[in-house]
Amino acid sequence: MVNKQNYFNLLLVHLQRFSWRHVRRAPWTSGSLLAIVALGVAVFFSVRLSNLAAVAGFQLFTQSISGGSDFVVTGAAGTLPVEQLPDLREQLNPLPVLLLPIVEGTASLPGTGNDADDFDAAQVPIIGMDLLAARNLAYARKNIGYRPFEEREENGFVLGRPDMVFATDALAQRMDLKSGAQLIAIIGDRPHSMRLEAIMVPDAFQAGKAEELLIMDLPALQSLLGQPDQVDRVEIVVPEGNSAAAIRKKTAERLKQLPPEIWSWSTTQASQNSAQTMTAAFRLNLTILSALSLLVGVYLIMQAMEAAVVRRRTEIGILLSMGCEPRWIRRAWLAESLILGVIGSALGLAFGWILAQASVRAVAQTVNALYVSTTADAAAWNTGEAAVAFGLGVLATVLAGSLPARDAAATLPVQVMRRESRSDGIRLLDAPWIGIILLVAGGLASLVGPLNLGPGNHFPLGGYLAATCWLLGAAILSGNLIQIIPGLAQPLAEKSPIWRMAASQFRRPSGRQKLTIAGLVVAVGMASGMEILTHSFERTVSVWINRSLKADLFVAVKGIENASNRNKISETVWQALMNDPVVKKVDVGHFFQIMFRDAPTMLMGIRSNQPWSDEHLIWAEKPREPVRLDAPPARPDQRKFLYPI
Amino acid sequence: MSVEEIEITNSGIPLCEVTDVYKLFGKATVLNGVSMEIQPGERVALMGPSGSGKSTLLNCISGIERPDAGQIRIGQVDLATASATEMAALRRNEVSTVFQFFHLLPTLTAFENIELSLQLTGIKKADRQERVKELLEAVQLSSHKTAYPETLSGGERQRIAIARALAHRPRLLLADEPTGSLDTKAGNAILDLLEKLTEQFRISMLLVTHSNDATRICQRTIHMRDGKIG
Repeated sequence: MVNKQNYFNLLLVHLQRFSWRHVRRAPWTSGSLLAIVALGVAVFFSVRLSNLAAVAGFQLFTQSISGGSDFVVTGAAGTLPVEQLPDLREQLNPLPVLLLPIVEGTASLPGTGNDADDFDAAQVPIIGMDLLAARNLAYARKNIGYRPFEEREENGFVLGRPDMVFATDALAQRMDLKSGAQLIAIIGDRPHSMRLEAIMVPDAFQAGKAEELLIMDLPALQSLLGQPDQVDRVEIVVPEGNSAAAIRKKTAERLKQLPPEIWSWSTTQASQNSAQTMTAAFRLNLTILSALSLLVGVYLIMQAMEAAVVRRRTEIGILLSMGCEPRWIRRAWLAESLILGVIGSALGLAFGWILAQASVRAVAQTVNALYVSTTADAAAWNTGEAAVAFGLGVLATVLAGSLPARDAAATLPVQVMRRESRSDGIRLLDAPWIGIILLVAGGLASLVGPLNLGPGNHFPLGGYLAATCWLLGAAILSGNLIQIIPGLAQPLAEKSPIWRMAASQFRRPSGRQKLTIAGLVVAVGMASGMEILTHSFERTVSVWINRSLKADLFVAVKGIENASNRNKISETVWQALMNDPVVKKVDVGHFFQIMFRDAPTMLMGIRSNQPWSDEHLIWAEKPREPVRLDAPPARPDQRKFLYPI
Repeated sequence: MSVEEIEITNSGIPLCEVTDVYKLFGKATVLNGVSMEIQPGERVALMGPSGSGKSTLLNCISGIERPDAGQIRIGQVDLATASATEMAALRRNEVSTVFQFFHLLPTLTAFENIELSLQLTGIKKADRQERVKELLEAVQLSSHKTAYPETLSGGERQRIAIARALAHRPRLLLADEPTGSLDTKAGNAILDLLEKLTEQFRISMLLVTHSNDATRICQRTIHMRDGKIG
C-alpha cells in the first residue's frame, strides 16, 4: 500500500533521480529556464520598487526641515497673497501653532550637464522660507530634520541677503560643495551668483537624508522668482506636547471656517496621499507592463516544459507501466515547476533589487515630469513587494508547468511501446468555441468604461480586458486555423515534394505546434498593439503640435519639463520679445497646476501681441457658439480667463 | 476492494483469464475475439507472425492498453472495469513487463532501476536494498550496480530489466520479445535466466516471441494469426 509518507518519498525520488539528473545532463536548458523566471520576476520587482521609491520620494520638501508639518494651506487659485497671511494668523489665534510661509522654485545648476548646451544640467528644488520662523521650529519640535543654522550661529547671518543660500548635506556631497563656496544657479530665467552660507547637517532623526535641496530666505527667493507678494503655501506646525492632539483638532476646526473661495487646506498626510492617487494609473500601467515580462516567461516555460514532456515521454511511459499513477506523475512535474519557480524567483529578487537601483531614477524622472516633484535615487528593499513578486513568480511558474504536467500525466502507459512521441498538447487549444466566446467577450468588454482611480485618474479596464480576451481568443483559434494550410498549399504541394511534406505537418498539428502558433499570435498581437498605441499617441501629439504650435521659436526657462518647475520667464524678457520689431507675433503662456473639480488641472493663461483665433484650439467638446478669444473681458476679475467659467 | 488487498491463490482458478477480447485500431481489427488462460506458475509462449496481434494482447493483459470489448481478469480484477488507480496498483504489485528494447530509465543506475519498482510498492529501504543485491547476484551483474544503462551491453540491460520486473515478486511476468534485440548467445542466456527466476519465484509468464527456440522454456505455446488464437 502506498501511504502518504511513501508517496512523499517517491516524490523525492522523482526529483532527485529524474529531475535533478536531467538538469545535470542538460544544464544549459535548465539554466535558461531559471533565467527566464528570474528575469520576469526581476523586471516586475524592480519596477515595483522603483515605483515605490518614486512615490515615497514625493513629499513636501520642507518636511526634511520641519520634521513634518501638520497642515498645508494654499490659495484656492494656487498661490497665496502675502497680504492675506495676517488673516490666517488671526484665524488661528490664540492657538500656539507655528506658521511657515514657503515659496518653492527650481534652481538649475549650470556646468553640471553632460552636453555642451547644458540642457541636462542638474535641477534641484529651491525652498524659500522665513528663516526666523524656521528657527522657532526648535521650540516646536524636539527632533527636526536638520539642525539648520547652529554651525554658524556664533557668527550670525544677515537675513534678507539676496545671495545667501543653504544646501542640504546630500546636495553638498553630490556637488562637492563647501561652506562659503560661490555657486551659480539659474532661478527664473537668469543666472544668479550665490554664496553657500552653510551646509545643513542631518539630525539624528532626520526625515529625508537623501533630499537634495537649496534653501533661501523667503523674501530673497520671492524676489528671484518674481513673486514678491506671493507665497506658495503656508505649513502649519503644531508644537509637540500633551495637548498637541487637542491643538491639532482645534486648528482643523478653525481652518474649516476659512472661506473656501480664498483658502484651500489639507492635512500634510492628505497632501502626500494625493501624490499617490495622482500617480496611481501611471504606476498601475507600469506594473501591468512589467507583468507582461512574467507572462512571456510563463509562455516560454510552458513551451520548454512541454518540450521536456515530449522528450521524456518514454520515461513517463516506463514509470506508468511500472505502476506509477498518473496523479503522481502530474504532482512530480508540478514539484519540478515549483522548485524552478522558487529558485528562479529568489534569483529574480536579487537581480530585481539591483535593477531597481538602476531604474529608479528613470521612473522618478517620469513621475517628476508628468505628475509631482519627487527625489529618489535609490530603491529601498521592501519585504512586502518582495513577497508579492516572489509569490507571483512561483505561481506563474507552477501555472506554466501545470499544463505540461497534465500532459505528462495524460501519457498512456502504452507510450512505452511506441518509438515516436507525439504530444496531444493543451486541450484548450482544441476548443475553438472557447476562442469564439472570448472574441465576443472581448467585444463586450470594450464597451466597459474606464475605471475611476481618483480625480483625473482613469484606468482603461475595459480596454485591457478586451485586449486580453481578443488575444487569448485569437490564440486559441489559431491552432484550429492552421489546419487549413495544407488545403491552401495544395497547388504548391502538387509541384514539390518538399512543399507536400511541409504542408502535411499542419494537417494534424501537434500540441506543440498549436502552442507555438498561439504564442506567436499573442506575441505579434501584443507587439502590434503597442505599436498602434504609441503611433496613435504620437499622431495625437503631432496633430496638436501642428495645429497649436506654429511658432518658429519656442522659449522656455530651464527645467520646464518638470511638473514641479516654477520658474518663469520674467516680464522684462517677454516684453522685450513682444516689442522686438523683428518678431512678428508673440504668444506668452503661463501654466499653472490647479485643482479643478478635485483633479489636478493645468490652467494656461495666454497673452498675445496679435489677435487669436480658435483654430489654435482642439476642443474636447466644441462650444455651441464661436468663441471670440480677443473679446474684452466682461468684468475686470475675469481678465485672466478666456471666457467666464 | 483495492488491488493491494487481493490475494491471488493457486486454487485452480486461472491467474489470467482472457475472454472474447476485441481490439480495433481504426478500421483494423487487431484482436478478434481472443480467449485464453494462464494458470498460476505456468509459462506460456505466444507466437505468431508480425501483425498477428500478440503484442497488443500482451499490452491489454498488462493493462497498458484497454480492449474495446471482452473481458480480461487477473485474479479477481476485471481490467475492463478497473479504474486507472486500480490498473496502476495491478502493474505495481501483480504484473510486470519485460520489453524488447529494455526500457530502463536512463537517469537511474542499474541498482536504482531495480530498486525503483520496490520503492513504488512501499517496501522499506533496508529490505529493498537487500533484495536488489540478491537480484543483482542472480543476474550476475553485482559489479555493474552503479552503471548507467547507456554503459551496459544489450544483454546486460535486459538482465537488469528482468531483475527490475521480478523485484517486487509479481504473479505474472509478461515478456515482449525479450530476446528480439539480442544475439543468439545473449538471447539464450536471457531465456535461461527467465526460466530460472520464474521457477525460483513461482511466477507465471506469458512470453511473446517470434523464435521457436524461445518456446523451450515454456510449458505451453499459443499461436496467433490475424488477431485470433489458433
